[in-house]
Amino acid sequence: MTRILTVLLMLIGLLGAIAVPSSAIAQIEVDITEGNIDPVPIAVPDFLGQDPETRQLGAQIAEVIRSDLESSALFRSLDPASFLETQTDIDYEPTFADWRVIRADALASGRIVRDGPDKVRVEFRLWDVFAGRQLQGIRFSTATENWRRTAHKASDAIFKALTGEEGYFDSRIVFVDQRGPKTDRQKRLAIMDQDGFNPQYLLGGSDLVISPQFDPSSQTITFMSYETLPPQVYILDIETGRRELLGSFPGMTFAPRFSPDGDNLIMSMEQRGNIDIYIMDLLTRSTQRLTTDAGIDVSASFSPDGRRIVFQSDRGGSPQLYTMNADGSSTKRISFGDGRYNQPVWSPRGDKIAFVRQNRGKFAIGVMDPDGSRERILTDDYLVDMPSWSPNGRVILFTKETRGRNSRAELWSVDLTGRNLKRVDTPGQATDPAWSPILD
Amino acid sequence: MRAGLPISLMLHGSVVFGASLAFSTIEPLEQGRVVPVELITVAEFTDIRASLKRERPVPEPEPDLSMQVETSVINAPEKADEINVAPDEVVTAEPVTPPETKPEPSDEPAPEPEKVAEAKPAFDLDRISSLIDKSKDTSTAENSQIANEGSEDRLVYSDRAREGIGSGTQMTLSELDALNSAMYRCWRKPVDATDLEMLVVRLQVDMLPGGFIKDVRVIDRASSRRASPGNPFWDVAEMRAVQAVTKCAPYDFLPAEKFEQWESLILNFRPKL
Repeated sequence: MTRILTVLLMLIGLLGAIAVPSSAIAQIEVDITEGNIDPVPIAVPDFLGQDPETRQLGAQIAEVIRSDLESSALFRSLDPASFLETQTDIDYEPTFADWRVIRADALASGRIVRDGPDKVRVEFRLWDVFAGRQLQGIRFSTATENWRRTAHKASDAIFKALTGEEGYFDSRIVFVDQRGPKTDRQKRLAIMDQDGFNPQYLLGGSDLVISPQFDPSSQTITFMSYETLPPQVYILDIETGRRELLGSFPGMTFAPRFSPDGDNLIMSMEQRGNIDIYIMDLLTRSTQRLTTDAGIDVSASFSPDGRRIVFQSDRGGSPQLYTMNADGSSTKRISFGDGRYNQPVWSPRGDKIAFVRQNRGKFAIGVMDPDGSRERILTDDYLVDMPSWSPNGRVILFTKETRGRNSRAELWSVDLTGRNLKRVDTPGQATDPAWSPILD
Repeated sequence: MRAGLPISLMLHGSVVFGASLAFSTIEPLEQGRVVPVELITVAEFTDIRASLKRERPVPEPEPDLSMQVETSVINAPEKADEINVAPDEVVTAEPVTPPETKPEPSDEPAPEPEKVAEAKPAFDLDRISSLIDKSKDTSTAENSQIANEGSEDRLVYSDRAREGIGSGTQMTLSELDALNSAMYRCWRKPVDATDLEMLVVRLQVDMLPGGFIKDVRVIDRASSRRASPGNPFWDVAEMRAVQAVTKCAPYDFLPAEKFEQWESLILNFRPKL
């Protein structure tokens, strides 16, 4: 009896299973695979103010936001002259139709409120014009003189909301400022905002310094100074100005880099004619050797999770890129192209490695996946050098030198797609850029 | 009393069975409608035309799935009197939906050649005849001859079959191409995203007559997101897909007479590098 029952139940279950999908309603389904990659049109009207002073500040802040967004090439800032609506209060929804007409995808409107004698509150809202909803609403309270940073922070918030990626506008660039003729070149460490504003020297005097590198977790840099020989390695806290001498390392060929947590430095040192990679614990100052082969191993850079290290080695005959575990085990060659591969730098996002490739008398900046696949050259020139990633891993900053007697060293940037190649303004000639992490 | 339960179960079972039968007889028509619509891009459209012109190469270099219902078709001039179709109308059927959908509209005059097209891979005579029996068609000899003829003829016949289904009311490739190219204008691909190709967003779009949007919403979000869990770009990918659909409105280029077909659409946004 029970057997018949179970059989019947199973039968019913089976029939049910058949009946359900067959009754599903068929619907037209279309796959969309092709989209455009045009920049997002965004409207940033001048921020509102209560009095002439705050109104002027509002105009300046909006201007910085517009130029930040434009500089990424992911946005197209619409001309304020085309705006149909003039908002008088950002606490009410804008008239979306007016913004749709001028084909704005997004609208960022804000206002400045005085918050004390030298303090202001910057409030802004970001609207998705087509969906008619607010994407972001933020208030910043700041000293009036700090308005530029506030604008950069607003740009970062807009960038994040519309691209899904962290912004990089509120960051700074450390570089080596070069003055004087080639025979008597002064190389001084300088810092400026990511957009070229507020340049200043980091150290007094005329230091002969090269290759600054940021600690990815703080506003601390390490660099090498050739003022005395052998060269010395320093750590400098930019915010406090505290400089610390780590020591001199004879035979050091490349400046050290920080590990992602900032607790270790990774560097190359020469011992008995063999250059290998070492890691130094900054607390105990103890070093540990990571590579042992007879080749020249230099230019090591950590992956952002701290597990792998990419470096350059000539163990295979010509300089190529290799990766290994953080303890030096399981080494793997990742570059196989013609020419020489130099200066690998792991992206802070972890998905790419930037490098310099030297082939047929030209230098190129390229990127590849950490397993060596999908190698792509982003830009090439007579001399390009020293790639440094933006904190979000989207833009690469590098040194470019032109050919000839009037050759100049400049900083240039290019984005991951290879599209947005442009010069970065510096007060004089500049080399060795190092992009800071996002400021807190 | 004892017999009561099994009897009741059997009765219930038969009701469910009957219902499933009833449903399954309705369903194929619906699916039949899906066939010409599934895979279309501008490139595919042109490819098919080209491949039909030259007859020597196998016209379908596409994936060799087990079921070969692949029928790329240009309507046949000599059958023009049967059903009038716009002369340049091109219809493709990709091997996506099960072939069983075809025999369904057999009440109409067309289906026999469809059977033939199906029969081509394995020449099991028994099977052919059984198929033909089902279609209540008597001209067996003629059919088997057709089966042996060139692919071109088969294309022609399967076209007739398609017309039989009622392709006069189908969305054509060019109409769907128009939708695709509109989307190209309006959809900003999230190019910088990590695992870009995993970020497939599925939208349910409900339309109003005139091509205005009634409602757009992301569907199957959870299962889509499983393709790339924790990807920080999901929100933006969804936002951009919804934006594309709203931005492109009104869809007045879609044929008004076929409104009931595009009244409710599913759009899959599949970014490619």
